[in-house]
Amino acid sequence: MRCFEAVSCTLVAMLGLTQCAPATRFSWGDYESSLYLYYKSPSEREVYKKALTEAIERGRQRNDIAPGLLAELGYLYLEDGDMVRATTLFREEMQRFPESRPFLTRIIDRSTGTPLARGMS
Amino acid sequence: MIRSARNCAAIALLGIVISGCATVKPKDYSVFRAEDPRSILVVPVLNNSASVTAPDYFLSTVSRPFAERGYYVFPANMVKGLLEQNGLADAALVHNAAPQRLDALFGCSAVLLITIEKWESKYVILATTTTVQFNYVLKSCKTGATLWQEDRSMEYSPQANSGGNPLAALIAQAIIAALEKAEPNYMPLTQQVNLLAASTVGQGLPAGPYLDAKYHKDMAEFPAASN
Repeated sequence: MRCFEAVSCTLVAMLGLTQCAPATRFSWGDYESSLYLYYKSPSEREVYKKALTEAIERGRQRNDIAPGLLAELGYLYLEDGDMVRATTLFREEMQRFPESRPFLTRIIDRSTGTPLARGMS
Repeated sequence: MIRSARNCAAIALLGIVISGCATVKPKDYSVFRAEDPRSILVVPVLNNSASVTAPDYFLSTVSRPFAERGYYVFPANMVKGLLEQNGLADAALVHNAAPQRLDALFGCSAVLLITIEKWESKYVILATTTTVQFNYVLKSCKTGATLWQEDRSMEYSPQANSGGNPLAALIAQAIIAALEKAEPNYMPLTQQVNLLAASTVGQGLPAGPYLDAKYHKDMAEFPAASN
């Protein structure tokens, strides 16, 4: 096994990426690591929720909230039965990312009795 | 070994491409350009590896690199939850469904179908090598046509630092190999593979609408017809 080669090549690649890679477009905070943790152990849900909240907070300040994060946090509130918070977050996602409108409108409608899977059958 | 050497060469080349903008033969982006997708639906991944935890862990690493290319990426965990609630917990069902059905649910431009081909860690003579391999297919939610595809793999083997004492180095290497075997370092490897898949010039995704400065201005790097 040419392990050394693999590692050194990885380093070369990383060097290349960091040299040329611009600062990230969006604020992600600890989204990835906290979601991983949540999948690894569902009892870490609060850690994931907190990471989303903080990433969104930072994204609001810098006007670079990452796509999906508002909806992800809204979904956790939806699971908690907190429709007010969930809906507020879904509306902000739709306003920032119009691509999410058909989907999230459907989710908000469903909470008032419209079935989600209507279009699927 | 030949494969790993080839991967190595590819990765080293990539470093050059990104920093120096040398050219490798780019893919043909004509179908992608004609469709001009704005959003990407990330759905649960198909798993051909022996690891039962790989698909969920993997899912935490997909959204960021693809969103950073300038696309609206749907909330992956929410999408997963909703599909499960709607009797689509089986990734194969979602992958085999006509993408147009997903459009009806989510209003997506495109759906990203990923298969985990390898997710394994092997111990061979004082070294543990962790390998991941993923297949990516981006399909139009409107027509079902394939807009882009990619296949990528990467290996990782942690190395002990030899302090000049051969026996100590040997023991250190054995310990490191054992640690890697016990808890393989899949996540950084996976993040790196996804980043390369999404953002390699001429191979990944052209800039999307949320990268204003580059959107529709990278026709040379991601050409509509390969030459």
